[in-house]
Amino acid sequence: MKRIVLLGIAFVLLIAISIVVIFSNNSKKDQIQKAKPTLDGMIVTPTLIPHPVLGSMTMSTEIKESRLSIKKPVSLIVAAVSEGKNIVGYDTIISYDKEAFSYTGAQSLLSDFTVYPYERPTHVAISAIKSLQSNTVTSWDNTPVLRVTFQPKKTGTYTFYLSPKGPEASKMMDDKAQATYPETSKLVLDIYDELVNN
Amino acid sequence: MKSGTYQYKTIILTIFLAFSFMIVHAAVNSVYASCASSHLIGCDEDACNNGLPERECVYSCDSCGDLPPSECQVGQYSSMESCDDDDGDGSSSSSSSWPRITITPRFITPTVPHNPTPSCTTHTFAGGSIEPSLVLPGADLIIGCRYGADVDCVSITGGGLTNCTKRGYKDGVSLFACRASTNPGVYTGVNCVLSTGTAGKCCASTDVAGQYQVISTEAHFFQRMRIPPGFYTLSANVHTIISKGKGVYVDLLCASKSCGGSFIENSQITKLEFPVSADFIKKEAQVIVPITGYDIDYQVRVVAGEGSEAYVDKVSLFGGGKEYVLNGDFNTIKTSPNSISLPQPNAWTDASNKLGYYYGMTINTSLPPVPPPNSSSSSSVTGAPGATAIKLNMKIKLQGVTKKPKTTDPIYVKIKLGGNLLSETTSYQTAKFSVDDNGVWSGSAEFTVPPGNGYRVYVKGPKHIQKKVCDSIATEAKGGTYRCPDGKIQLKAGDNSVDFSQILMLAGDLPENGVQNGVIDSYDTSYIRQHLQSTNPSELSIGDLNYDGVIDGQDFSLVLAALSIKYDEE
Repeated sequence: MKRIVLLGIAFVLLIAISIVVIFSNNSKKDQIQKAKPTLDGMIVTPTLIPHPVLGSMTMSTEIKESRLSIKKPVSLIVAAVSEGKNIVGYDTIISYDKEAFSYTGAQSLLSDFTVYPYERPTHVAISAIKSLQSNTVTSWDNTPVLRVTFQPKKTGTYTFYLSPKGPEASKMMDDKAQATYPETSKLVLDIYDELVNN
Repeated sequence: MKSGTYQYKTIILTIFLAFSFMIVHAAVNSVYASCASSHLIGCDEDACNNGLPERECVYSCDSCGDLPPSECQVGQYSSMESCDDDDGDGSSSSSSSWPRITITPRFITPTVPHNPTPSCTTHTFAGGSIEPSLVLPGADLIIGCRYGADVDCVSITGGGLTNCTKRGYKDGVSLFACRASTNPGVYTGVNCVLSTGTAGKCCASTDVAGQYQVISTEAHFFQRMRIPPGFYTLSANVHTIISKGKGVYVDLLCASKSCGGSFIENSQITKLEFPVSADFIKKEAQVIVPITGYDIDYQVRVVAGEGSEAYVDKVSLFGGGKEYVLNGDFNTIKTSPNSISLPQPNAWTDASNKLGYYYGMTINTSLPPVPPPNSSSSSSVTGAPGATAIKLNMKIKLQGVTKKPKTTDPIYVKIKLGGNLLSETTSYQTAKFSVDDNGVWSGSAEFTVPPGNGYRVYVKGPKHIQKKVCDSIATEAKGGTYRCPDGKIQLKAGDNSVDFSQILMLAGDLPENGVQNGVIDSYDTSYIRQHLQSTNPSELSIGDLNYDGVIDGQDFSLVLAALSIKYDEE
């Protein structure tokens, strides 16, 4: 009898505690819902107001593989989408690990564009200028426009970026001298040593 | 034993009764919360539900509490957000989260028969607005209450607002002008209030209009300016003696409703911070003003956190060949602005918070700061002890100009000095250059630096990349190939002459929206391409690199030639 009574008390207490817990949870939930949004102090902002982004500029390897031998040069293909704009020049800013790759050259894949590459401490800046004699409309829809070649120096996984560096940014200039700042991507490459892997 | 059994029975009975009471209590509340019995609190079912979930439905803030039950209307019930206890903080006074239901006898036993014709007119709140939402202390705000009708019963309360007056009605929104709080912080309790007793016979209600933030009250000077889209450089030369609170900084704020992107009024677009230093420090930041219109205002501030002390030599917002900060060099000093006896510059607002008296900040280059004992005395820049006025008379040659050009208007060239007598390069001075019959341009710039040896001169033409020159008479074997590592130019007090006319200043860094970016890139060629054969003066001022009065293939070729150099020399 005593055991039954004790069990009964325990059961009732358990239910009572459960109810209290449920009620208190509801209370917390509502308190959270009722919390007013607040703002922190001064808003911290970047120093540059972002440009509107239009079109794209992307990189891929010419052989369409991301795992590459350290013994062979790596050719990156830059493809662009100009969203109907007639492009007369563009700048490509490629950042990479200078310890792992050395820049060896750049070639235009479009015959009426000439490239002017310039190696910088952290990146290579390539300006491509359309010939004054060319009057054809140059509109790109994921069109390969540029080949850039690097020689791997170290094994490992490395990333190439098309992101801005200082005052320079990858961009396309149209025939109205208006800049289009494209959406850009990064490219991750895995460099391996054939001798070690074999 | 019997007594013990009795005690057990008593305990069990007590617990059973308590448990039963809790269950019954919960059940009763659930019934009320379900709205199914909403008539018990004097509201018809539609009014109670109002399309809301059960819990929100019963969280009705006693909206009907001030009215006869029969007058509760659909739409009268507010959401949880409106359940403000009107204390101005936007919070509910109830600490419990359980539906706040007031069961009063009049609700349980309605004495007033249901009357479908209300004695007051309900106006549904469709939203509020506060503009701008980020303000300086005591600034003016416009509060909007959208009730869909121009009624005479709307007013604004809470949120630390004062002097609220109705200014108009437009598109269903009653507009009020109010003055923001003078204390920094976030104010959430701004309410649109409908009051009874007016000619419009409004039904009473209180609705949250929104929130706003009052930003820093740090001591500051400011100038407001309207600047067109383009590239700008905000720079300042400041010596901070003591840095407290938010420290010493110069910043650029958006001063219009929107400045593009996420920048709204009073958003900080860029900030130059000046920690304690032994001498003046020059800092700058590049800012791009996007094409969002030509009527956008900005504000440059010089700010000293409470207790900070600093000297400010120069503040500049430069772009498009124009300086937008007036009296940025602080040459003209007001001696008695208001009641403050410390000198302050013209063209700036009087300092807030009696700057100078309480905060110690002063803007006066006639009072050069004394370097701390442990500072180095061997390096110095403008304003440093030992500095004296020197005048630099220069001759330069521009790429593509081999004789007196067709366009002979003066040009403006930026000049700055560097060298081992300076801890950093000076700020740019803009010098006016005129051309002679041989295509040599002459001009002068003045600096205040210590006389001595080892100077180098940086020359930045209006459409050119910057050239660093280390020799008083510089030469090169092939055009554009001159390079030098260290300065060898000696400068003395007074006049100094240097001849750079035997080296070429390479062209190609064309101003874009009035600002050069220090790089020759596809923009520069595309500009010339677009304006080929143009003789328009404004286009010539940008793209005519050889000053022959037309933009043509020669200009294009000059840019291509300079692409091999590409960058400003530093």
